[in-house]
Amino acid sequence: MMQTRTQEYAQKIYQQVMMIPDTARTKYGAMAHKLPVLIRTAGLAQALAFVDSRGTDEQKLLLDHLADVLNLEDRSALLTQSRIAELPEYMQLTRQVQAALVWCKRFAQSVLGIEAGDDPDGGA
Amino acid sequence: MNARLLLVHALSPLHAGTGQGVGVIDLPIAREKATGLPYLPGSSLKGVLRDTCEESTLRTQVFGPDTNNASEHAGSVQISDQRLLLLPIRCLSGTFAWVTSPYILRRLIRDAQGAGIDGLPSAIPSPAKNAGIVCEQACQITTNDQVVLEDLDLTSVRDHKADAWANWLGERIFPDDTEWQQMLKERFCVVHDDVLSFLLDTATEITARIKLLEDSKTVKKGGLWYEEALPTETVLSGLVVATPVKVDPPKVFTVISELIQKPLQLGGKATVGRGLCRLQMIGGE
Amino acid sequence: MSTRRQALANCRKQATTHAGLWLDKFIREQSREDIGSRRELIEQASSIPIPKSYARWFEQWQQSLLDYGAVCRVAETRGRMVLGLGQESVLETSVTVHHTYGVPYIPGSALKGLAASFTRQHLGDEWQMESDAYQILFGNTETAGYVTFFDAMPQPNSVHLHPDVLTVHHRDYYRDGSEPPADWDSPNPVPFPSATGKFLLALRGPEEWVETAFTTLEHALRIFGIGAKTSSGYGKLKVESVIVMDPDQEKIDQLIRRVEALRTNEVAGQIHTFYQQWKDLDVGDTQRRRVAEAIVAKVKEAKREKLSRKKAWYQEVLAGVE
Repeated sequence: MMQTRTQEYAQKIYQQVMMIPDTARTKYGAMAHKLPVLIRTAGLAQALAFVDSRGTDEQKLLLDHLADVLNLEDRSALLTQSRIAELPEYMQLTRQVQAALVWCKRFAQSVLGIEAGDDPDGGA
Repeated sequence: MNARLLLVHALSPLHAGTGQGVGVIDLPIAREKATGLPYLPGSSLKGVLRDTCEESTLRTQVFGPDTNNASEHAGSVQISDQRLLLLPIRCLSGTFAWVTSPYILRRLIRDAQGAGIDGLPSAIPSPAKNAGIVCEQACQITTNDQVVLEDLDLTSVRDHKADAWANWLGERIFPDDTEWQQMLKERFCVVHDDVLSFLLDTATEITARIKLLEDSKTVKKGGLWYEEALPTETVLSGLVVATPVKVDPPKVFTVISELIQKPLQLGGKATVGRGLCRLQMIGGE
Repeated sequence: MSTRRQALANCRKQATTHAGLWLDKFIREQSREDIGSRRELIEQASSIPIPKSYARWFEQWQQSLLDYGAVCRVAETRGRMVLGLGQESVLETSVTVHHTYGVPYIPGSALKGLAASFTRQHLGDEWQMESDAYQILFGNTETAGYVTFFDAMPQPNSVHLHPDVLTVHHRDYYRDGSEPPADWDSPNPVPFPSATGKFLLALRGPEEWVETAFTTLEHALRIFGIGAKTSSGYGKLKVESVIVMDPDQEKIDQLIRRVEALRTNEVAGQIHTFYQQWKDLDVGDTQRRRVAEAIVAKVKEAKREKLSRKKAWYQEVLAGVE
């Protein structure tokens, strides 16, 4: 079951990443590396809120993409969900986002050519 | 029974084994395939005990010959993987909680039986998915009937079954030290297996390691990576089994018990201070 | 609206809250303009007392390091110190606190990195990356270094977190330290936590290499400083010259000196009182053995071995040497 789901994630994310314009590559790609760690440090709710309130448009695009992958309407739906979810659903949502981010990170490396730490002054 | 139970108490973060770097972390710790529980490979612990044993004849008798002559005879001791027993988790009250789960406690009972140890509490607390079972007496990790672990709100349930476990574990992990036994009682918490598994995926210690370019403050290309460790205060457990190859089991256990008088350094990343551990061996009374 | 999970919206900081957890996950609000939430968060975390359990832990930590053969010395911050600035965090300006106890500390990896960098820059040609000396001390990709750098944990009664502020207004000051900051109400203050205290440096390895590493660290901590913002005077520490002793060790050293000071003609009359003292010792096995060895050596020196072997007390001491 899980295998099918991650494959589904992978396909969707590959398509999303292919559409990233050249100008957004660095910021988007660097955030794909940073967000998984930020979620571990700050928890899902605070990490998403951080990117949403302090990030650039390219970085927020990653949140829209995550929402889309999880079949949520947009990033604001994802944010709301992360705040109001009861404990078991919150844990599940965190796992889903992290599973999706594994692919975001991989494609950031292979498709966008961005490594961790490549955007040192990128804010957010 | 020629087996004893080992308890490994981490005084500094323990980089136990090396897992596959597929997810968020570049250098993760080893986890069991079937259960996802972290473990320190038995071979790694055996290697450290072997190196610590200074007397060469005894070393060969107990631990077997050097790897070059490994075919001559096996050692007289086998050490199983040391698996997670208690995981410290940051807490809104009481600084941290020592967390475990029903599956882990059941497995400890099995291991203890293997080592001929009786007297473990037989009743295992079984928390719901949104609850944490804590001690009736002395608990310090709850506020308003909640235990908040990281950003997870668990309903706290006080249960004497937890006291029985905290007492049993405390007396063995911290023998003759009532203050530490009390500390464990104050912080002991049993959560649902799924919650523990979530905590293991999200709340172990991770450290950013950075390689800077010489004479500058900029990060080298690819010079940022994340290492995972089991935090200070993690407790692992496993078995030591003696087989009479060259020396008798009682001699094996005497040797091991002398080798663990002092702290040992286990796991990886030793030169930056990881893996300083105290060991206790129980059973055989 | 709070950016916390709804279930945690009303949680308050307590006296026993983990300071690192509070900093990482309990900020109230995160909008760019809301500097107040960030400042408040750091003030709250700084006001959490050092856990009582940490004091217990530190005692055990120091004893374990000494039992393990590490050499320990104390380093005290001269000003403030900030480690871990730039780690992923909702604060952008995070600080390294201990994962389990929430107290500020200096990671072993940071100390090792600092010592290595100082060595390369200041110790001349024999200490470059490819040199034998450098590789023995710090290792390379194939082999580990000879010296272990443990995390430097703070002495419980000495350590504090402080709410600190970096102002963009005073960028010049932070760059070259030429002008002290005066105006904390500038338009772009960035709050961050800094630390002060006495930290237990602990190194282990062959004696002469540990000594070299300590000398290097002592200079590096004094001249370079550790962590972020070192060019503005942060992160400088003074290493105390005294080596932290095992309290048992000192007691035993004294006892052994007294045994050794016995003249041979005093041995017959007095050695038994030292046996009594040895018997009553409340110390670890290694230290017990050292005293037993001293007694046996003295008995031999006084040529009373044969005579003493017949006595039960001497047999007991002999057993203590094995």
